[in-house]
Amino acid sequence: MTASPLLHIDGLTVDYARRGGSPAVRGLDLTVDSGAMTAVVGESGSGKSTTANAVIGLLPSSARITAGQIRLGDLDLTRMGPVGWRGVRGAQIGYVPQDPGSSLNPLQTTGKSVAEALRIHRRTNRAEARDRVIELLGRVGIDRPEKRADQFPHELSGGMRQRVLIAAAIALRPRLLIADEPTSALDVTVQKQVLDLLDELRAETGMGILFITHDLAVAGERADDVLVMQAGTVVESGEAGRIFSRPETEYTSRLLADAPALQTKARPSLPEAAAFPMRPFVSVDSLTQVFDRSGDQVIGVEDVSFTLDRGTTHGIVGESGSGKTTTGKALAGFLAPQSGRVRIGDFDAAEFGRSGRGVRGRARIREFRRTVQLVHQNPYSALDPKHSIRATLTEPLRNFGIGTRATRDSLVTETLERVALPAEFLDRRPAELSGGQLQRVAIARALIAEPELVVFDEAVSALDVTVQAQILTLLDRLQRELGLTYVFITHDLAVVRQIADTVSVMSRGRLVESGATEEVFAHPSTDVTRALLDAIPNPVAFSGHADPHPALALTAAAES
Amino acid sequence: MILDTRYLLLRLGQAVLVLLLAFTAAFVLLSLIPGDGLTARFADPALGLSSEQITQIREATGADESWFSRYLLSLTGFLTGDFGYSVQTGAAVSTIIAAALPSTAVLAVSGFLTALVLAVAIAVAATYGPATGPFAWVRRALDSVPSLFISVPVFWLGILLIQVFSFQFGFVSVVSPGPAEALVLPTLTVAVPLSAPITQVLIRSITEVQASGFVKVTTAKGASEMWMLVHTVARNAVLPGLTIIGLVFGELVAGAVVTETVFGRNGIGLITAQAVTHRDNPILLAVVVIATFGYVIINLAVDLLYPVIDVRLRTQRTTASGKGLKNSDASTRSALTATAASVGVDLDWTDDTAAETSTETKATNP
Amino acid sequence: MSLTDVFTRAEDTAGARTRAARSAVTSATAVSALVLLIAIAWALFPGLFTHFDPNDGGDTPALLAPSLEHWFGTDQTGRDAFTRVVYGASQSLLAALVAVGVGLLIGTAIGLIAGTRRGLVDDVLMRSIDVLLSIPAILLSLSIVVVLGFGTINAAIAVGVTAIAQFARLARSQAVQIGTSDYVAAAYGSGGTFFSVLVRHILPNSISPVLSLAVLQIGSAILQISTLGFLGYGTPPPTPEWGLIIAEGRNFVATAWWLTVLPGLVVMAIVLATHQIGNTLRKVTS
Repeated sequence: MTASPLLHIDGLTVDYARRGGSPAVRGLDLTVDSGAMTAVVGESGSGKSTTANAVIGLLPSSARITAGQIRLGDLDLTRMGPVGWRGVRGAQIGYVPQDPGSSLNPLQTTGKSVAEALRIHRRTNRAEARDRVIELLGRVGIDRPEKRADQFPHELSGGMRQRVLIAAAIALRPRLLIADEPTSALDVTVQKQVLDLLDELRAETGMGILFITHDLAVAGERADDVLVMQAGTVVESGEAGRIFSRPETEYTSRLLADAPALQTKARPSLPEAAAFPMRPFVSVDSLTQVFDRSGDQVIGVEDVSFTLDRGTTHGIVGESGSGKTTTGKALAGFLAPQSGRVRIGDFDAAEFGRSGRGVRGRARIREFRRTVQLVHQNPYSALDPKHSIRATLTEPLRNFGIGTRATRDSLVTETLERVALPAEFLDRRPAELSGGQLQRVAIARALIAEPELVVFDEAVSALDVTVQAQILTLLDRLQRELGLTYVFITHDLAVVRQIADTVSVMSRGRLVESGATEEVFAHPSTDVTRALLDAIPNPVAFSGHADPHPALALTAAAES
Repeated sequence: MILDTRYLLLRLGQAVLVLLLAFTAAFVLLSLIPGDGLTARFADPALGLSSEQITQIREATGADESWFSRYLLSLTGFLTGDFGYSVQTGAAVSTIIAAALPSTAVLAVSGFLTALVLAVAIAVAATYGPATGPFAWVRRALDSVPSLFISVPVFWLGILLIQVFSFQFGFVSVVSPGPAEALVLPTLTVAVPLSAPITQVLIRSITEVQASGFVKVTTAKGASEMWMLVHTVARNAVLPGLTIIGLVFGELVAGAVVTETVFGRNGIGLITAQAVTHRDNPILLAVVVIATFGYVIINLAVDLLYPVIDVRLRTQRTTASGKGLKNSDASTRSALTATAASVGVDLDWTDDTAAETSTETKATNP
Repeated sequence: MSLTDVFTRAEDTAGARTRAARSAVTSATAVSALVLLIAIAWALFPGLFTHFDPNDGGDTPALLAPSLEHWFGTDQTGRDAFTRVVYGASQSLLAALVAVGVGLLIGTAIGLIAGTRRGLVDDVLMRSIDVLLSIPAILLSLSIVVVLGFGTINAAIAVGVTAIAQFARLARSQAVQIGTSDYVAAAYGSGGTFFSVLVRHILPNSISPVLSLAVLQIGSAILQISTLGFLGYGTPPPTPEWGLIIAEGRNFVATAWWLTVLPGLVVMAIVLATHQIGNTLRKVTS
């Protein structure tokens, strides 16, 4: 098998016309064997998607292959004309895209989408196509395929749509399947199911898979070979097990260290929190806010209760639609719950969501806003694009009447330093900053009001893993320095495991499990938690003997 | 079920309400504010009417009633097809309009169909023309056709066409053209500016569909460009096009008024222009109400047609029970986006919908 | 027209075409700016561009063909047609500004109130805008002209009323979109009050698309006003106004083509230029 790989890329260089900088991909070598999976891992902009697009001939018109060869068996894909490509695409190479939401024709039944490849390549007549579609849908694990085939994409869940896309991609039994971040848009439990399906399919049909992902853990768990890309070049490649146990480059080591899923050690719990058995700082008591319900599923939250001590971090995890954001909004006083109480220190957050208040109410709400700050998920939309960083940071000072005109400037500079940003950023506008830097500014804006509780709503989900690790380390340090209390809302169990002392697991609008993080992770008591935990990718190296120390040693270095 | 009764009734009710309000506005504008048009007209000593005669006229037309009973009178008149009498000629407005309507309808239909053909042809050529090579400029040029077409003064275009085709080349006789021949130039005059917003919406939606994920997936299945255009792009791109059809009705009316004036075609447009010149408000009121009726009906039809074509609008409503009202706005919304697009505004309703759902979950505060 | 919008969207995907389109847009923008500047100069200092009298042809022969002396030829009374177009700029541009001003002020106010207050206020205001939209624009402006009487400013107001709906819709959608954005939520979280957030965040962020719409609308306003002028409801003769100039030339289509063709080209060029500038502004501000 090693003699002639299925896909062989040799010295591939892709250039973007007139971009001015370095080529998008430079000198890339890669092989995919039949029945094997090769993963290309990298952060955004590393050139991994360009590689995938080059293999299926769908590079944007501004990009050109300037050097190298791509061979699929005996076919030279770099010399393929439009007609030749039509014969290869679909028939020999299948493609599974990143976003199942926008990748199915919204006006076509799923059955038609699956049958499309058959019809394009004129392999079957209408009736046969129908049988084959139902067979395929059944194969990818879709229940009641006869019914699903007549449904439209919007009637299906994200995971279901991704299955349909896989069914469509394998309809003609291609030799190679390109999966471009196929699970990034999916919840973690669904991700596991889709990955399992891909594993089964390649075992069964012997097709090779070129797997593109930003998630090192997923790559480590599933792939045979892994390529790590950075800025268009391969920094490291080899057998997955070897890369995870003995990374050869610093970049890979750092990626490993930063990947929250690979952190095995939870942070040390704070001793003082346990030492004073005082009244909990935050207590949420049967919080209920139901927007809608359908069957078992509650849109919103129902009967959620938990408590939280001062100076600790509480993680709220759950899949999308589990009600975690609603809980966060209630905590931050942006929502008047239908019933239940949200007490933070001396405040009842519930009262602030309601309208109608006098001058005293206004003063009180201002005081509350100072005490509780919310950091949003998307740093790009959380800052007013028209305001400089200085104006953004000064605004809370003015609103809350902190400091005088003279002292505010130094306060702003100080806070910016605290989040490890240089003072020259003060006069820049959000558009000039990267996502990680913006999130630091958003955190600075929250901190400058000197809050006691900070609610993070998926605050690191939109960031690359290295940046994510930096922010998490920063938050950890700030908590220790300022004695802050955090509520950390996320869908990523690995992040919670890394940062939270206590954790609540939510599902379908209800809180299903709550307790100390290690306890919950070690002895999950509900199926929901177990499924979530199972779904965390578990790279080969860590399931066995491997030595996690090199990874941990680098955590501190990550914050720079 | 494609259209549920509740949605149907709701949209129907909205349409009736809009019509009623539009009638009220037009009535206030054209009947109340001008005050006592009759006295001004018939008290003219040159007419030699005695004061008894004037009183008779006033009684007959109800001019001395309170404004509200005049409003009711006028409203019931409109509901029964009695639009009052022309101030200028004294003839029944309904008769005048009935005589002029067929010619305008022919012009509108032929102009509209021509615009549609033009728009589809330009849009497809501008998005599927050669992107590279010696003829790439054709595609770029076609891309700018809509902004050129919308900048053309309609009246000037009509005159220009007469000059070129009648006087220079003598293709179309000016003196005594046959009925079909007489229709050619006016049709073109109406069609050119009308095609601009349609073309533009089509170009834009085709480009958007081309960039969407499912087109890439279909290409990855080995589809050719032609296959994609027919099977994948066309249907998705037609949806916004459908909406703009309802919205260009206003343009169609404007085109008719100007074109009929330029070409001297007897029709609603010409009557309107004459009514304005002679301040014949009853005729104007009738034209406004009839045109508004046309607009509302066409847009209602488009709205109701939308769920038939766009499956997403169909089932969302039935699954998300109790939210019928909210979702029925979706088609209206895309309609608005299209209008806005025709003058170059990006309404971004998608964000708006997202925003509105998020306000549900977030009682935004002081 | 949002043609450039189509361009910008296409740029994300089609790269090679992108740059070509972009450079085309910028050179087109430069030409457009020049055209507009000339038009504005015509309106402000018509005497600098021509030494003829716009309203009195003197003893110049009538219906002269275009020549170096009379660029656009002369009309039926021997007046220089180019001079009339130059002098017409002030009427047409003033009217366009008034029209857009009416639409901008009233429409934006309605839209902002509806978008920030929401609820019943929103419903009532936006339903009235629906009604305004349901009456075909030309009929609405004709009705208003009938009530107000003929004349430049009255025609301008009539056209302005038809523009209210566009501004109101845009301003509302901007206000709603920005009002529910994360940074506005964050501003409330930073202790902002309704008013301070409105002034500091919502207004500055929603105003630039509205202003670019205003520039775009100038083009349509010029067209609509010249249409009213052509029909005879705008500026009364002999004052030159673009629509009127073409209407007068219309009687000589068979013999003196220049009296309609050339002024029409000027109007078209200026409308095209405002669209181009408006679109460029939109692209820059968004």
